[in-house]
Amino acid sequence: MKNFPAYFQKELIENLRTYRLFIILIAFVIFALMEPVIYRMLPRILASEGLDPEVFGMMDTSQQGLLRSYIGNMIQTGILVFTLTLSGALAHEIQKNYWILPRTKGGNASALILSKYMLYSFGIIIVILISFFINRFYTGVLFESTGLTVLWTLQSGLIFSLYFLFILALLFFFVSLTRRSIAAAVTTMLMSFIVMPLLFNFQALQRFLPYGLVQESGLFVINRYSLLPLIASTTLLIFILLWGTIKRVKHMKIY
Amino acid sequence: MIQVKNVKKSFGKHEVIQNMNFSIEAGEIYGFLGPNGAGKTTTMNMLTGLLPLDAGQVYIDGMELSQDHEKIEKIIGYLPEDPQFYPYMTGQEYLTYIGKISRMRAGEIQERNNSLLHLVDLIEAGDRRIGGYSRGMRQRLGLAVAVYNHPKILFLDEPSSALDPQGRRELLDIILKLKDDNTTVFLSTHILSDVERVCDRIAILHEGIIHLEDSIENLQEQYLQPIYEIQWEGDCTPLKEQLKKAQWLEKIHTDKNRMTLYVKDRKKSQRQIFEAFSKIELPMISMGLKRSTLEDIFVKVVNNK
Repeated sequence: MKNFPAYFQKELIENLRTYRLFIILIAFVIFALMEPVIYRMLPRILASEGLDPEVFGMMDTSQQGLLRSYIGNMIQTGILVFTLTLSGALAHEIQKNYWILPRTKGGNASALILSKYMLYSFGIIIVILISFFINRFYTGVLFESTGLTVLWTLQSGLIFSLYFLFILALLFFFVSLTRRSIAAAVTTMLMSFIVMPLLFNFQALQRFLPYGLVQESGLFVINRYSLLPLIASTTLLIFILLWGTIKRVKHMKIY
Repeated sequence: MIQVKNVKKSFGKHEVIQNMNFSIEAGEIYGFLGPNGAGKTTTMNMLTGLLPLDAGQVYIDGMELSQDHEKIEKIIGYLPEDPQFYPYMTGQEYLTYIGKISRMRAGEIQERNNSLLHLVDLIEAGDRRIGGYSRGMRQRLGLAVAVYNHPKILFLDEPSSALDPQGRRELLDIILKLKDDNTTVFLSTHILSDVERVCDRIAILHEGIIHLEDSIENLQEQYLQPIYEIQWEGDCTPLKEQLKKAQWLEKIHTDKNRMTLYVKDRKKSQRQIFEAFSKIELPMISMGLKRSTLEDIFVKVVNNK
């Protein structure tokens, strides 16, 4: 781990040149802007389709409601963009043998994986917070401010980010299993879109399943009883997945 | 400097390396030859610690590979057959990255980058992205990476396969220069003329077993063919009758002014041959003993097994 700074610096250059985090930022920001715009235009769209615009009145157009709706969209579209964009980050190192030469000079799998994980974790937290604040601001402009405070937006964004950190660890783990970027991305999406929601139906798992963080992030209420076990179990799962990834990569066969 | 004892390696049920043993002295250039799939790259990957051994021990500079891997990493350099680099980095940036991983100081890194880029003739391309480099340029950058930490032992896997004749010659000169600095070189290559030019000893690996190991001189002596090729100033066909009765002769071929003599025992008959030639009035232009090339030896060893 002594050469962690060298790896982290390499990751910074990689991101500046491959635009991975920038692509994710653009996607998240576009969706954050589109959400209130679509809601604003919805009465006209409904009227043009011959539907009763009164239906619109039943929708929640508060800042909280639209941010909740944004979270709901990002749990699918956001994860799709996130996993597809980042699936190559570790897979290419292994698949294309980029990591071999540095390894012969004293580089190690732990520093490689942790530097990537830390950079993308930091990046996705920033991206999610920016998009949440843009969504909050733009909803306030197009509709009216309904008192969603900066603190609530920040808390909600951080809780939602933790779920993405879990998805990132899951993605890295699947890369270490499959060595293939697309295979790992598809498996991660299957876990997130199908397996997680299915498991969440079991009452006993709800308190510990990372998927619960998505629900918590849209509540805008801090319920320590439900939130703390979720944070603890997700953090533990992230550690286990990263440990598994490092172990797998360390003992990976080189051809 | 390198000692390999009873090393074995299998991938699934396929035994790639079967009980390998050899040792290399400090400052020696050791050629590691073998047909495709013989296990050369697997051996390289094991000796550099990239692949674990199934059985046996490897000692590098007196240190056991599995126990002192971190110390060993500091004294070895490795150039894989097809070195892969981050295409978005420039040559300079990549070498800086390697310098940082090797935990060198910033000033030292810059100095080393410049001297190595100069050595491998990439000084002008140093600020260009590696994604735009040719295979030969990447191979040269790979060599710069391999020697970055002033290694005592250098492992080179097919280092000249992607280079043009000029680049190949330069690479061989670099290898010979490293030998002068007492660097031990473990060289795997298909280009046998390169091996003949730089290697002190060679090993021929086939189906995971070392079938032959010796110095090039000894091998050439051992595999020397008792055939003389002689060129005369005029037609040598009449000489055929004159030499035919000699006891040391097995077979004779003539073609205008060229003669090929197949002798029974080269060492014993050498004196008699020259005596016979001294009685011939036709002037001789040249005479040579046909030497086995490394290629002849390689093909013989691989085909006989």
